[in-house]
Amino acid sequence: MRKTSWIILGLVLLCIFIMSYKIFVLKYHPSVVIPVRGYRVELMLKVTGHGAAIQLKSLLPQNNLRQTITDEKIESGIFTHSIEQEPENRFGIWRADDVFGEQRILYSFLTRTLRVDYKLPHYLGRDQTMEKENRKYLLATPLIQKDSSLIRLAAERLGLDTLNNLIEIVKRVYEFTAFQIKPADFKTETDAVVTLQLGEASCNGKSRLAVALLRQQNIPARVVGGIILKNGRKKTLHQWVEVLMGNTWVPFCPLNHHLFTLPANYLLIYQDDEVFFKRSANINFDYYFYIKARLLQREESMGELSGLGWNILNFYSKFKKANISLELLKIILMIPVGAFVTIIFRNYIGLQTFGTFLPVLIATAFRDTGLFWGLITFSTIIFAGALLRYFLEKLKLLHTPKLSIILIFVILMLLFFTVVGSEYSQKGLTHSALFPLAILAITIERFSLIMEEKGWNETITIFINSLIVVTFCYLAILSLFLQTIVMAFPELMLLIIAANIYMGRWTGIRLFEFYRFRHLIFEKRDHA
Amino acid sequence: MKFWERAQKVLGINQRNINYVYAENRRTDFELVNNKLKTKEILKAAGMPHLRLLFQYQSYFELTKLRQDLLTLKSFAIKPARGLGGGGILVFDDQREGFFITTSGKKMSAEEIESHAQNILFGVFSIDNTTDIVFIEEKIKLHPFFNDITYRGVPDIRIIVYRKIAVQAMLRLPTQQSDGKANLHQGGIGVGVDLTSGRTLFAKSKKGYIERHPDTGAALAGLWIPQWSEILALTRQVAEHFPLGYLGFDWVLDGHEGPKILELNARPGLEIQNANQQGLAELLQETRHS
Repeated sequence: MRKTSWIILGLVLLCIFIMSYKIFVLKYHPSVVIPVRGYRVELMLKVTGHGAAIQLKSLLPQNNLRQTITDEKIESGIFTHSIEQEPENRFGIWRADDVFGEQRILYSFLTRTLRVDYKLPHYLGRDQTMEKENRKYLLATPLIQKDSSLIRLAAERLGLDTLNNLIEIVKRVYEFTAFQIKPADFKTETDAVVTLQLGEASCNGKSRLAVALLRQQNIPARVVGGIILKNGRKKTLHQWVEVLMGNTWVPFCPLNHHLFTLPANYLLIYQDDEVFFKRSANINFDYYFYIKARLLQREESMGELSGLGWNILNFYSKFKKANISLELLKIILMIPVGAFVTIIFRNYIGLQTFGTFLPVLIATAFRDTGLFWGLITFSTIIFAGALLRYFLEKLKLLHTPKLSIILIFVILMLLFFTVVGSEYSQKGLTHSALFPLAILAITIERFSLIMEEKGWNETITIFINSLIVVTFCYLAILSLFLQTIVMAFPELMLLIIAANIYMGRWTGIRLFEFYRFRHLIFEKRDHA
Repeated sequence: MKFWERAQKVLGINQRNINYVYAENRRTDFELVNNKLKTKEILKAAGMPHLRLLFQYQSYFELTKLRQDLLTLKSFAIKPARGLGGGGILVFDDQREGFFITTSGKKMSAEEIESHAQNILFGVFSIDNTTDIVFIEEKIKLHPFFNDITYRGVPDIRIIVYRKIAVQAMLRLPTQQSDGKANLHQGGIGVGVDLTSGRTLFAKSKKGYIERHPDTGAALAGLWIPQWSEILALTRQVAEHFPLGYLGFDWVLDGHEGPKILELNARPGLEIQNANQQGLAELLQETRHS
């Protein structure tokens, strides 16, 4: 066997050995490294004032056993902002005097929600001992008219009085409101009696009717509300029901047919039949939710990792002293992975790019701007820079002074993007100032030289190739899963070294060479 | 024959670099061919034909005499000693009314040539972007064989030499598109050459296989390259003086003085395989085992 094969084998075995030790002896668990799906939720509030003082109150979500709310951000604009905590619910309050024109408030948070299935016994007596504070969940309200004769009649027809098993009663109320009351797309609030009379309602009407029936039976129940997490922009809030069963509030959703279970995409925001937004009169008000799914690092797993031995987080305190953030540390560790991606594109596929590791460095810079704005800024700077160089070329300048002018131009462009980004609140754009300056200047120079030597076609091809490789590097570097894996198992670097040795000795034909030499490879031609 | 077997016969860039460029050549020897002045020195000492060196300039101070030297010249080439892929080369045919006329017909003033030379010195065209040397060499009087099959510029003959043995050959012809340059990636035409007979085989431009020269319309296949056996004999002799095991030889053919070495190349391109419609990996393996 070749010398390199032995080295590769040694590195792979060493890596496997260390990983096995960590998994089997130090008890690394997959949950430590696998990120979970969560959502970024943005609530945009828009008000238009006519010179008067404005107060705006919105319900805000809270942590509970099945949902976590983190990374809350509030951009209040001209408003002063405060938070009010009531026993059950939490409100954000914004106030401002003399409001003219359209003003915006952006409230956002990351959330991770779990599906919950309630395992109930076969029998629960309908007469439960009840905490004093839960008594209010038996009372009639203007929208939940539990004492109405119509509600009493409906309860009688459903035979609720004849049942002793609490579970059977709740099931019967659920089945009635879920299947006998037709779903409808009412935009307005519907109360329990109207729902019963119409025989159809949207989520709030169905939920109020269910609560009214249960309260009529002296069973504590409440309407709760929130949103259903799904990618996109929406205004629709959602309401469902919670019933107190053996000291636990158990949910059901008569609109979407979930009984004793709450799907993972339900985000609870408030309890008891609350009004989501309260606001001063005489203003125009509008709102929407913008929801985007993303992978989240389990908060616990970072802590868990530093508790286990033999990984990067053990040394994190040292890096912290050196002012290296966890984010930066992750990126540094991911650069070899990005380089690996680049090598695959260059040596196996045969895509020509600007510079060997330029795509990795550019991808790293995209961390702050995001892929979209990153690609746009990068492309704009390169093309505008090449145009500038074209004119500079007419001045017949020496190389370094010319490059220096291009560098100044790049700096001005980046600052310009930052200012524009901040003006139009494009956060990605504001971070373009963190691009590697000198590398951009050199790329402009290289771009222009290739343009001179090989013409437009080839230059644009190489440019697009570079963007493709940058995109893949970005996806690899920013992959939360890969990041965590590398943090937990830094010995994977050995595997990357082994792969590099293997790829460094690989003499096969690149994918693009199959095309280049297609006449030799694919056409059946016999040589004399 | 299965396509995979045919693919095995083609030399890809990975294999070229690992098995030939780096396996057959010591890193320190690259400089002998990367630096055209060093190549000339060796050829001169060995008495092998090459393009004569007229002037060289190692510093900005020495460049001050460039304009004076230019006055004595009519047809010549100005080059970086350690250039890459033909970059930074200017070839002139004539001097008229204080202007120099490039082979592609462009007028340049002495001042512009001086500025170009400064960029070369600075290392703009150098293989590793370090400072470089500028030199001026003679321009050959083209052999009449090429009159019909070349558009301005200087055509050359590329021969791949593996362990002192010629393995594959190709004629490289400038076109209007290539701006007088013979380099294929700049739009020149590659014409495969049968190694034993010196007869041309297939012609390939950037766009694909062609029958005739796009500018002159002359047929490109079935031509006999003049002085072919002399070129092969000289190739063997020149190879003895260079310690590199894998090289691309670039020959030019002067109407009066015969074949001359233009330059040697440590990383000869792979397009020669398309021009000959034959894979190089196969030929190299045969050579190795013979």
